[in-house]
Amino acid sequence: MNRNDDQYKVFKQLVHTFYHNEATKTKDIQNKVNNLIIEPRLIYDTFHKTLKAEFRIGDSQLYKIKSLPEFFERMLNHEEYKYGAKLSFVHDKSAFREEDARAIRIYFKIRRNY
Amino acid sequence: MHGLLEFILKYAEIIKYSNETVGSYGKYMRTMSNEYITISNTGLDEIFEVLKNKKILFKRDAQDEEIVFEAHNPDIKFTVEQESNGDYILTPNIDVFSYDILQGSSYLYMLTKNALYRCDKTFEETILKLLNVYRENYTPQIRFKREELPSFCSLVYPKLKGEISLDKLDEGIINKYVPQELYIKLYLDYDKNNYITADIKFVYGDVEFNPLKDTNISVARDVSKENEYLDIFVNTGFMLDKENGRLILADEEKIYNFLSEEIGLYMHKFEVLATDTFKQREIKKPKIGNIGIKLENDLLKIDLSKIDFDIEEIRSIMQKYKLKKRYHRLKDGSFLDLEENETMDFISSLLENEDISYKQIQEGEIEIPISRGMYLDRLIQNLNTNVEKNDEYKKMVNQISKREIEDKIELQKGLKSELRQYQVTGFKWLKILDNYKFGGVLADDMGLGKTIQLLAVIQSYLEEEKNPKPSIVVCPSSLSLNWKNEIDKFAPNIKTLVIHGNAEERANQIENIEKYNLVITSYDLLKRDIEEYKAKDYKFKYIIADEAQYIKNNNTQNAKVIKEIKADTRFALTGTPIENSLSELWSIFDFIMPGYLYSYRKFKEIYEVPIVKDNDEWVLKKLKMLIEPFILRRTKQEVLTELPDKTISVLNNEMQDEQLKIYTSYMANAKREVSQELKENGFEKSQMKILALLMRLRQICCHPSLFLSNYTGESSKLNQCIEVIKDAVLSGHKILLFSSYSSMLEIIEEELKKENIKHFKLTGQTKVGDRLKLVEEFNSNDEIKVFLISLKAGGTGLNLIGADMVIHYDPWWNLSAENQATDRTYRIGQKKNVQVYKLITKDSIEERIYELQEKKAQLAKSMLSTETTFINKLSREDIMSLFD
Repeated sequence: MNRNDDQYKVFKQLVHTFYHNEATKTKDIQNKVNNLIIEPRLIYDTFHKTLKAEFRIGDSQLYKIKSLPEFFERMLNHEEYKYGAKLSFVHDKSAFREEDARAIRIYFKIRRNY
Repeated sequence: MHGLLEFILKYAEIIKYSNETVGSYGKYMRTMSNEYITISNTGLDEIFEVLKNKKILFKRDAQDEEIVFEAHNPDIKFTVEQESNGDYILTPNIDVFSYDILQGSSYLYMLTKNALYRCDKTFEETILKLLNVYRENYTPQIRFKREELPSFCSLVYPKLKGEISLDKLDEGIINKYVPQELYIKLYLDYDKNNYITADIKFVYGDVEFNPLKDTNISVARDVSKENEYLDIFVNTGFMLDKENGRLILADEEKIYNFLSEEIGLYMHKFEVLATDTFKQREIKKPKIGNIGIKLENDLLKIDLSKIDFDIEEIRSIMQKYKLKKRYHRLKDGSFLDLEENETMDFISSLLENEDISYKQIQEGEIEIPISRGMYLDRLIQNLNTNVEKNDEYKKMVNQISKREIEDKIELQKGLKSELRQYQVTGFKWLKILDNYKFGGVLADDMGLGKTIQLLAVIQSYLEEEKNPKPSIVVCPSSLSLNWKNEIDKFAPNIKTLVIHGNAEERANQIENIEKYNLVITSYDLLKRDIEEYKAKDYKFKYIIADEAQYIKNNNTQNAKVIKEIKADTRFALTGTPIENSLSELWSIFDFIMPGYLYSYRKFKEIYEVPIVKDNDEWVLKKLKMLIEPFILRRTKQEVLTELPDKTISVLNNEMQDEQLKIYTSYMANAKREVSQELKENGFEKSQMKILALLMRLRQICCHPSLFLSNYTGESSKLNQCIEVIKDAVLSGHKILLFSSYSSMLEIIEEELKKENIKHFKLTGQTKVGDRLKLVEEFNSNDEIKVFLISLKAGGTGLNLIGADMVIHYDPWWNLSAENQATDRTYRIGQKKNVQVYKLITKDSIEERIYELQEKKAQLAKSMLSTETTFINKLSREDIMSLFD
């Protein structure tokens, strides 16, 4: 019985890759997320004269992007990822809200090391 | 969000790859943090662009404040006030310690309490610089004494006019110390040394003064602007003439630069005034008012007396021009612009390489050889000048280059054929060249009848001249018989001698050349007999080099020897375009008109190296102008309408050495056997045997190794065939070659391989599927030049449209079957003319069969397809005649 299963395992994977993926895609299209915001935080260090930026994303609740490289990869491969209870989505540019003219919340923190 | 998102993704990617390349040390040795993006200079510009004009929530310590990203300079102003003690103070309207400067890549940013400003470069250079003076000195104000007010007004204020407010000052002070706008007046002249002198005047409002001379100036001056302007003068090369209080420009090159390029800038910035002398000495371009060209008594005279500039200076001018100098300074101080100019080109082209003394030029008239007349004509076409030509000259140009023949040239009666229109043109062209004692290259495509055009010329000469001199044709051995055939056909009046035989026989023939009109010899034989020719010191009327590519290499004996033969007029014939290789071109021109393209060394220097190594197009153009009048080439495409669909020519070859020996002995045997056979069995029964014997003899003509396995000799027909194929391929033709012997095709294949000629073969062995593939590829692939086809393969409607030449290696017995076979296998679109060659060995069975075919036209026309039936129709006498 084992040997028989092995033989057909690869086929199952084949079906899964092509068929099941399609199914997930349609599900995604139905529950598409499209209004995430990005909140930048700028931190200026007056002593070192450096400026750095951190980012939080989300909708009702914002989560900080802890790893920018991983975020990049997820966007590249259109992966689905869960950041927390209130944020899980397929990483695609359309998931984010279009820029709007109103004030966006950017935190600009100035560090003065005295 | 998308602008911001793009920003994030861009830098996240950088972080990702930057960290990844660190290698296996992984997270312990990351170069960049994963959590945040360090905003770089470019990053700052980018993120500012994304966020500009937005209100940003700003968190400082515990408080929330707002900062706006403003995409412009901050509004910073300075004020000058006078204090009670007389001192002045300059104060900015911000706290100089209350801001930070951030550096972008294209911009600078100022972070104040409420905003982040994006500042431009001028801001950096003016206000920021000034603010730094305060910061570096830890002071909120700059203080200066009353006596220093003038300095402030003239050194500092002008640079910051917009930003410093003088409102709090007395108006009288302002007028006294603050300089007005500076204007400059410049007076230009030449001194006796032909240096440019410049008198400068600075102008402030109503006050004018010479900064180099006048010392007591009381007006407020904008010193930095003054220095800026003085720098311009210095850069141009002006130097101070202290004595006269003015500037002088002495260096000739700098003067030229100033006059040609910089003066525009000066006129833009200053008021420039010049004396009349100065204006007159502006830069001139050489021009020729008028040229006259006369052709008189075989001499070409050019009248250059009306050149626009001093002809006496022409030598130095030409020298400078050759050295590619930009200008020449004439004696009166003015400049002649020598840069690319048609007049200069013309004169330079005219004078170069000729041994024309400058004395001739100064006298205004130069002489050049008449053969340069055509080149001169081309040169003039580019000139924007009035050219007067005398009638003789005009006539020559028209006749040779435009081929508008005015001279009366009539077609001779002795020519047994109608020439086609283009051949008439060619004939007349050759005659005209002959009239002017020029040489020429007739480079018509293969098959267009170069031979007959030359024969027309010779015939015409014979009819005009009472005591005609002999002419000589030198051609490849395989074509000598061809000439003879053409003459017999078209101009039988020409008494022809074909040089052949062993050395002694040939020497004898050469002795008797005077008795003939035309001598035909081969390059090979000419090489061997040259001493005999030289000994007799013949001067021929025409010498014709057929297949001139044989003399394309000047270092070969072929080329050297042929140039030793004396003749009045020389022509070269070739079917291949010769302009492609310059050294070949030179060699052929060295034959037809020695000296026209100079010595090879000079030719190489002037033309070959610039064209081949430097790709100099202008030189190439000049060379083409030189040679074009003397080359006439028509392609089949051009004269297509005058050609029939198919032109059939017979090419004869003569067996030699071993092949001849074998043939002769076989023939002797055959004769004996035939007469024996006839005696024993009578005519009807002997037919098979006779046929077999005829086949044998035919094979020998094709190539004895078709049945003699140990034959190591050559075949004259094969040699000729390969030569024809090579020439045709060089001219860009595609060839079909038919033979009834597939083993013959194999032999030909070997030769083609040796010559690197790509080909296909189709025999009875070729599968049907492959046949179509081969045909398709032959038609579409330009690289496959030859298609060898066995007649036994039979046509099944093969459509070989790619070919425009057909060679019948061993002409078929039955003419119509032959035609049918070839017609069946190729169908020519209306656009092509096809040249058909039949290779027939002279003094052999092939020749006799051919003659019989011609005679028995009816028989030939009948639709019989086999040899046997043809033989059947021949009478006994006919057959016996074959073996004679």
